[in-house]
Amino acid sequence: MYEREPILAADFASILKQYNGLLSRVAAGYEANEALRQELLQEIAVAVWQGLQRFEHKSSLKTYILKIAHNRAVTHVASNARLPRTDELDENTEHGVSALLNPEDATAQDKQLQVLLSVVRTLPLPGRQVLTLSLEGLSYGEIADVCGITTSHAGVLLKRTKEEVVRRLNHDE
Amino acid sequence: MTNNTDDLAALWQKQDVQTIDIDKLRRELTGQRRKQRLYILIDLLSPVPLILMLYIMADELSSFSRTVIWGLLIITIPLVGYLLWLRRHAAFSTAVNTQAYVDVLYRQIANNVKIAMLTKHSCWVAVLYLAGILGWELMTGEKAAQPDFSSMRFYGALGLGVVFSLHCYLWGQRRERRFRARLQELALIKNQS
Repeated sequence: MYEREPILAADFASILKQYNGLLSRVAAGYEANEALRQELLQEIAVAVWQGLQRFEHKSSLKTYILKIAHNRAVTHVASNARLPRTDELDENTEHGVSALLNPEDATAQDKQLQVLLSVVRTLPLPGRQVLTLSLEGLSYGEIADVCGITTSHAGVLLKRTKEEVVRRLNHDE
Repeated sequence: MTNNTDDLAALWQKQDVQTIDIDKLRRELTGQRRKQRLYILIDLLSPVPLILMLYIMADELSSFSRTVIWGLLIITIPLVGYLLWLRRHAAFSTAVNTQAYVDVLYRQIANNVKIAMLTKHSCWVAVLYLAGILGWELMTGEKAAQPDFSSMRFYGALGLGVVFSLHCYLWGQRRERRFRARLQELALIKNQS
């Protein structure tokens, strides 16, 4: 059961700050170019802000926000139809992972992460969505709610996509 | 290497994140709100010149011109209603599930392709229409009979209309191509679902 109180406009900024990481990772699943990714994140944030005014507590706030974020990202994909979305392994981004690790481990982890992102961005939309939602801790039911598919379909799709991703990660290693 | 969900999730969560610029967001929201209100105002005001022409120039207009303006007015008013409905519709469809969203977006973009195509063709049709009216008035001697008639001004205005129409046509064509590219991309996404 979810709380029924409406969200006050004064709280929108703190909600966005709270979900900043989540929204940034959604953008990362759709856009490889750093500048365009920042642009997409900002567009998602605007859409979420506008969506918060109409939040009716029919799902959790996280699920609701993810729904808006993924939809905005789909619009971005369609709007940038002529632009490449999968850069070569991006040398300028996703390096902060390793700040606390020794150089060798850090390099290996950076590489793994870049390969993972690269693989995710090439997945067909349904697979990409179920996988990234699952990696954010959503249940099959919540994933199904965001994507507009049945729970069992979400389960099957997730299993198939994970196998594909793991196979490609191991192949690229 | 990664071979289970927990490993994948842990790796995924270790991404560097970009920061939302809240101040920029507030500015964008204000800008969007103003832009939206301006568009609505422009939509609502678009039949006004035609109404004013009918009201102010009632005595000067020929019955043919009056019929043409009434015809345009009858077309414009429902079109304004439709555009306002589209704007409202576009603003409230973001929180549905992705499959439904892709369907709505596909229909919207398909409509945009049609609107862009109509805009493109309306550019040259409008000039043809104007040339037709003016030509008719010239042929019947109605135009030449006007005391302030100048053939140089007349053909100059017609030439300007042609140049404007050409620009408008090319602009409409670019819009149509852009929307078609988006529609194609969305069709691919729809087929994946």
